[in-house]
Amino acid sequence: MKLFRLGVLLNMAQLEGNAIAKEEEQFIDYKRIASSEEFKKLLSQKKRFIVSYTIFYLAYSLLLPLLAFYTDILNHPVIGDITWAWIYGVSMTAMSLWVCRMYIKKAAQFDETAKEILEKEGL
Amino acid sequence: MSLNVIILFVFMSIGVLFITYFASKKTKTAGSFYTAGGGLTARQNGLALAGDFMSASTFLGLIGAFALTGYDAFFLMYGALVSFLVILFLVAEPLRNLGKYTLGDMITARFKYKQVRGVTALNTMIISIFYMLGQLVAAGALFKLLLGIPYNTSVIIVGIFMLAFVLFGGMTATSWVQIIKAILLIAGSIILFVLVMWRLDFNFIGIFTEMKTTTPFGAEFLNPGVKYTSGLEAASLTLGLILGTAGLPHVLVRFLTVPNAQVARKSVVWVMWILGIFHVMVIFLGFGAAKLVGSANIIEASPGGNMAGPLLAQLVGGDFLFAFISAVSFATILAVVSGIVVTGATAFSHDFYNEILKDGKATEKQQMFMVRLSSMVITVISITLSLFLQQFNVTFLAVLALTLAASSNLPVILFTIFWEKFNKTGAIAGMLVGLISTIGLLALSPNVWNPVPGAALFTGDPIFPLASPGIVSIPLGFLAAYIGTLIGARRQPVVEDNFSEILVKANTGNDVKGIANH
Repeated sequence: MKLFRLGVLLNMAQLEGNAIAKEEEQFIDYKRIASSEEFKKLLSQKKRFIVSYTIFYLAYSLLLPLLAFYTDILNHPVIGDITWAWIYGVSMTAMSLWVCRMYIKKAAQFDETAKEILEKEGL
Repeated sequence: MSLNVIILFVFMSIGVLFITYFASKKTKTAGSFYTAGGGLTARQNGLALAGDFMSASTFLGLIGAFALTGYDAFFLMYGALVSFLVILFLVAEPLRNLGKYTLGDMITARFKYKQVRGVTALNTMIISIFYMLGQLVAAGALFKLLLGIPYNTSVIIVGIFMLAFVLFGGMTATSWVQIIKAILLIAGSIILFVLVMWRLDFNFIGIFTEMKTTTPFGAEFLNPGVKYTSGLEAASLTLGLILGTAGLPHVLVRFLTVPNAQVARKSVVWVMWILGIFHVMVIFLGFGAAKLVGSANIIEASPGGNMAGPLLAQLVGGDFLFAFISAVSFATILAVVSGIVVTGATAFSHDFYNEILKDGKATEKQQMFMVRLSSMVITVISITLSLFLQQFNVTFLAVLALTLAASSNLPVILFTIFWEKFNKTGAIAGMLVGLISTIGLLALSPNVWNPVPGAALFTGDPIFPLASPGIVSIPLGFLAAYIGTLIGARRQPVVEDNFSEILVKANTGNDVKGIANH
């Protein structure tokens, strides 16, 4: 054991001690879980959801300065003297809260799938 | 200083001391100091996040910005809300599932090298100190205005007060101060909002028409372009805000104070609703200040507009509301700086001291001593530096901290979680290039160089034209992480990788108690 410890120290002087200790305690075949069909499916669903929404809310946010400074289309009044620019600005809050809500809903589904995968692995 | 102000401040100080007393009983281990034992509920953590994130510049700065620059204040505001979407979608859950006490834990969950941990901890401390400097300088200027206390005295008072409860109560006391501050801030804003709209007959549409004639900018006040001259500057600022918050260590660490990913996620819902409601009210608070107080009076009190809120409070609610808003501002700054100190000190004590120097074998007692010592050192450094920065406009410190976070932390966080080929060289390159390029570009920017003598740190033409360098430095950070990965892969082609472990842990949370027995 002592020799083994020494070997570890020599070979992986850079590695952190407690991380190794953890690996020793419990061996879980992460490679197998990661390459299982269910897990791959969960990841691709998650990816599709996260990427599409992230593109949407980033585009929505960065479009405002571009429209506001390089075009005049936002400067038309809608209600009284409130222009489209103000409506767009305030809609940022509504958009964010809506996207947040969509995430919470979707994440609950992902949780279920993740739970099933873990249960199947007996974790 | 009026009697009201003194009474409210005494009340608040007693409250904070009470919290510290109860929190200190719970703060026996290093883990409870670092992350309050990871046991907060979604509502508690959501409120604490709001308290952690909404600084004096959010509260007082935004009211002033809407009062003085009209539409352009939006570009200072909405990025913060969207940034919580970035956190929610990309960062919060993997961070909770992989990390323990610090950002360094999360990155080294994948790259188990001391250099990676060291650079992450260094980054955390640099960002924290810059962010804290901005807060302390703002605090000094604010209390000089609000209460007539000299700048140096108020910086030292804030520092000592904060240090006292951080030392004894750690993250538990910090969290509770942040929670209470968030409640006070929202309550104060709602009271102010109702009183202001009462004065304006609750005419939400008519106020826009009135705005066309009340400010020196006339009808242009309602259009973009009063403050920012180019869309590029506005977009760069927005990008920095959106991506910066998602890399701020003291915000990220709040996701390690909850038991699992579900709670982490729900606390984002809380903070987003709080920010969202505040963001709608603040527009009308700004308009109210412009209409009732008048731009000339606001600028006379402080050129940056920070006094718009307190002056408005005095006008519609008398001395008591003025005292209340001042006390809330004090609590605001206290809550934010204490969150930063705990984060910076944890990075030192946990990452540098325990994991790097002691190979993770430091005793609880040694760690508690080290985290308290580093809290003191960070506070003393920040107070000393902020005493020298009094004369300068320090908005760039906040910009610097946010842009640093976005350029150096975020690329590495995202690649660690999502990119299989990412490696140690890429991580270190990304963090260092992000760090150096942001500081470098800012040092050449109009924040530091101004042709008018005395307006900035140095006199002369800025070499880099934008005040917020995010639009250049953030892509640079990502690029460096990418190129570093390619170089690293060539030098050391076959590396035993644990990416599948990271994937499984990040996406299922099987490493933290919670989901399995959910």
